[in-house]
Amino acid sequence: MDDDNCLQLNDDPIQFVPASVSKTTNVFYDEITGQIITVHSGELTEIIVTSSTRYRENMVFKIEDRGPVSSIKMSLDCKILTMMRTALSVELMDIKENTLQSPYFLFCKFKGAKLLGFIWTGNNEILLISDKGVELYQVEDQPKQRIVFSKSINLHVNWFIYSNYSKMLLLSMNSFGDFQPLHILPGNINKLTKLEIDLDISLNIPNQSISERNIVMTTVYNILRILVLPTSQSRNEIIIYTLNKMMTFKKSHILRLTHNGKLLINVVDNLIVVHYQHTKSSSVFDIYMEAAKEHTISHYLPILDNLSIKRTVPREGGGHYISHLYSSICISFQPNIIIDAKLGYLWHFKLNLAAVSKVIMDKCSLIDFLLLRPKSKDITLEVLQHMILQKRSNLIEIGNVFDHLNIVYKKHLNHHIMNTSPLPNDYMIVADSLQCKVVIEQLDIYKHVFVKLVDKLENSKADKKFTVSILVEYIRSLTDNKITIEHFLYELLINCLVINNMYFQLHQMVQYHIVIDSKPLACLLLSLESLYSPAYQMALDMLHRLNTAHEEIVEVLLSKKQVIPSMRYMSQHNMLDHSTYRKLTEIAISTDNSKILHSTKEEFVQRKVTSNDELDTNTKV
Amino acid sequence: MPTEVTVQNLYIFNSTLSKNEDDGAKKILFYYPEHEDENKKILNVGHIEAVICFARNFNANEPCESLRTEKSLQVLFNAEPDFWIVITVSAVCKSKQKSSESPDEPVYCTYNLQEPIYLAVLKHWYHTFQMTVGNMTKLMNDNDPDYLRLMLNKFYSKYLQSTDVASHTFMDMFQGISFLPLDNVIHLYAQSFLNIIENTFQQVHFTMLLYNDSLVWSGLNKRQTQLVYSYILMWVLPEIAKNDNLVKGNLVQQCLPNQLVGRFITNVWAVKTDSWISDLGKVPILRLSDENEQTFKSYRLVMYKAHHSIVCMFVKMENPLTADLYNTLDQFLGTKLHLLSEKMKNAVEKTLASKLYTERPAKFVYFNAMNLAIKNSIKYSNTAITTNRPSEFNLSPDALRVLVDISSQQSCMHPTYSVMIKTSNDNWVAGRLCNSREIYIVLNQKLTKLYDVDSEIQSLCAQEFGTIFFYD
Repeated sequence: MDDDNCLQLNDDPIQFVPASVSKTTNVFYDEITGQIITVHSGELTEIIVTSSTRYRENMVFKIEDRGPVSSIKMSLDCKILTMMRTALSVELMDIKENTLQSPYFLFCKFKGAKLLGFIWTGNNEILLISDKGVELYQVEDQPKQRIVFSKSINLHVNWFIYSNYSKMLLLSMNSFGDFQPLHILPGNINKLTKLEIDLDISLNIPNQSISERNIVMTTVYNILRILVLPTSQSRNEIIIYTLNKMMTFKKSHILRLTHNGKLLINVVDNLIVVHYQHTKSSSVFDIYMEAAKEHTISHYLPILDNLSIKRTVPREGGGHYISHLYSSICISFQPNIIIDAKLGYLWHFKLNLAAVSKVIMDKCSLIDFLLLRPKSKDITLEVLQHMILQKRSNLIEIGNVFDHLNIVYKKHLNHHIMNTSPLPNDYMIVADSLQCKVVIEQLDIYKHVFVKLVDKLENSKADKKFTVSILVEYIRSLTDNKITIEHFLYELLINCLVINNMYFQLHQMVQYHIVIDSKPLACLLLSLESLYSPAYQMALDMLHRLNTAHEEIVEVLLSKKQVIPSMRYMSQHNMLDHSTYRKLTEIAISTDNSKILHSTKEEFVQRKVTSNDELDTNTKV
Repeated sequence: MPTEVTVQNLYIFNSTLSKNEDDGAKKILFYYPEHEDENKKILNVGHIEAVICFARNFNANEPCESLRTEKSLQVLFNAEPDFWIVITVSAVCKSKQKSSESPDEPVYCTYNLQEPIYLAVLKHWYHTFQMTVGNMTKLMNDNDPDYLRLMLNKFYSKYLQSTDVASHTFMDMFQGISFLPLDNVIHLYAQSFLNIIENTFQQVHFTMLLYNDSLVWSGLNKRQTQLVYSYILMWVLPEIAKNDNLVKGNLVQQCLPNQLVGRFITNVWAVKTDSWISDLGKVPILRLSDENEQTFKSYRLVMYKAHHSIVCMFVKMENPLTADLYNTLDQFLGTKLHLLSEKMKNAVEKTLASKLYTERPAKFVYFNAMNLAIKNSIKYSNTAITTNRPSEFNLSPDALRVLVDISSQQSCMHPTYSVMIKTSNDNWVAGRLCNSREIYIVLNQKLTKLYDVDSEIQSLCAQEFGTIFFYD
């Protein structure tokens, strides 16, 4: 496999009996169940069901030939094989112990209707689509197979497409671009606002019409979208309609294509991949990247262009040969499936992030791109390492990249807070602001960048300074985004400054509260006293500001044998009692200063007297 | 009583330069006033040499620091082995009722002169000399005594001309740094900006940022920062204030016609300067010690001003300052520095607005020996360029003298110290030392109870120094 390709096909394609075996063989792919069903017509029709997702054994059925099959599907639980031979009815066959039971038929209710197709919308729900409307039925298998009608809608249908993920059925009502979206609910059908797709009227091209080939309905960034492919040569763009919260489709994005001709569309990691058959190349669009806007609609150029996808097919006997993905035989299915019906292969597309990270030169765009992809964390960290450890980027760029990382990080943190109160889980309306799949947290940067940076520090001064600069830049970015900085970053910063003998700089940072106060940091500063004496003062200030560290302050003062100051401090905070007497006296003795010893004793004598007096008066009364 | 202080002389000598009685003038390296009679010069030097020798009998380890006579105070600083810097000051009372007996005879009040002030001045000047010119011993050994004489003359004459030593008071003892009060976000912007300069221009070794006369960030160590800061305050800021179009019209401006947002500050006075393209726009050369304080390295100090901020860049000597570098620096810095400076301005104004200053009769000076930060109740506005002149502190000379006394007392007392003194005009002067911080307070209030004085001081401390550990 060529590792430099941004788009790759999986190494282990699913093989099925191809249509090219004989003229009587037909191959069907069911997007809902992900099954390839091969039908060899003959005296005894052989049906082979190959699963593309689950590694299941092929199912093979043999039935008597009752005419050509125009559509064949399994029910969602794989218990019923359904097929359509005529425009009048759908044939259902129960599967028991791997054999087909005798068929029963489901006829279209509308008189004279021509059946266009059927869809399993639920485990026991089947939808019939005819030119006169749609009908929803429930298939009950208890006690005996029974089909119950539940709902129908009467309207003219040219053709339809269906998205199982959002249970959305899009019906073409005429060839002028009028569509009726239907939301299929269990036992019910919900009619949504009609969708009008504007054709290129201005150019006045005759015979312009939208067919199934021009429409792709798929989910990109968790929201259902309709992609309208160019209907004429002149319009070289894909128009995207997005389902909004009001359950209507609105024109939202325009993808500017780089080539004309026949297209195949796939979606990989929420990226829209356009394959141009004519130029044998592919473009990648990301509708979450920033783009120029025209009349509130964003216009996109491909972020990756002129990619070519190679695929190698293992030959019998060891060798490989490269075949054309862009040939007209190949068909794409959503989201990321390419089928070569002639050779009998089903591939899944995937994105090679490592290759992409070498192609996108602008680091900020690259980081934005990567953060939107799932499983991109390692690559993102590698990019950062490359930028910082190999010193491929200057500080400005690094700072910008940190900002991009931390904006997402902040959103993620906010999201986390909001999510503590559970929101109603509407599966379709996911107009979620947080789409980033990967969040690079402080610990990630610390572990994968900073620790490595410190480790590989050469002894040159410039290098050490560079480390401090990057740390400061990261802290700057975090502070800018109002993210609480974790302790280990400060610790590393302080250590780096100490290694560089940049004590005065450390002092200035503490002074300006760039290092946020905490007890552990105060202790760290205390430990630096022997190297930089003002660290003691900084540590005491820090403890003082915390306002919860009275005992620590006393400990610090006593460690300096400052008996009187600590005693004053303790009396201010009501900390003087019998338990501290011994300790204070011992330290006072160790100072070998009779004045201090006297003062210490006197303090306690007076306290004891007053407390005894109180006791006495209490008992007397 | 008003006192008139005059500097009688200031001289630097090295006794080893004179071999016998006849070449006594050789040991003199610098003498002010220049036109003093040659014999008097030698006599004065010889006199102090004798004092030094005499004092050595009592304590060989600590040299004599001052000599007080009825008419003058002499302060001695043994800067380097065998090198002595001596200043002689005298004080005359300007009392209205002149003594009737001898109307022409001035009444001396040498008791009003305080050694710590002049010792601090001598030390500070010497260290500045070290930074701008070099080590005396080394200069003499590397060249000859005449070269050292020339350098000392250049340096000390200029300093004596520009500053009135006699007017130095309590405030001059600290040579403290006024830090700009900023929140951490803005301060991080400033740091990030300076880091980017150092990262982008490898020639720039250190950077420092000032806003008006306050320090924002320094990449130098504490000691260097103090010297460079006072150098800029002394030689750069007054020049800018005097003539804001300092550079306009000269050849730097012609070479860099695009200096729209900011501009370079050149032609700053320095003993050693560096010029680029045949003497246009001199920049000072400063010698900075490295980490272990042993060896010195020279750097060109390139300063760039935009809005109210000055960024100081220390460029390594091996990197020439070309018109190209100036141009790229100008393009890089201009807008960025201006924007940063505006952010700082807003931040400073915000903090000033948030601090409601209740008019207190108390005035204070705060100095932290640990980071050399200095603060006082008068000089709070960072909007105008001001210098650390004590006149602004506006205290009576008496009070200032008491403060000097307190401070020299405190330096002997560790770790905590507190004193309250009632002055002759019923005011209170207080000093506190705690956690290496010194605070001096003058209460222009006629309080009778010590308790009231204490509570006034406490409330002041609580208001001003809540964020530091300063117990009482």
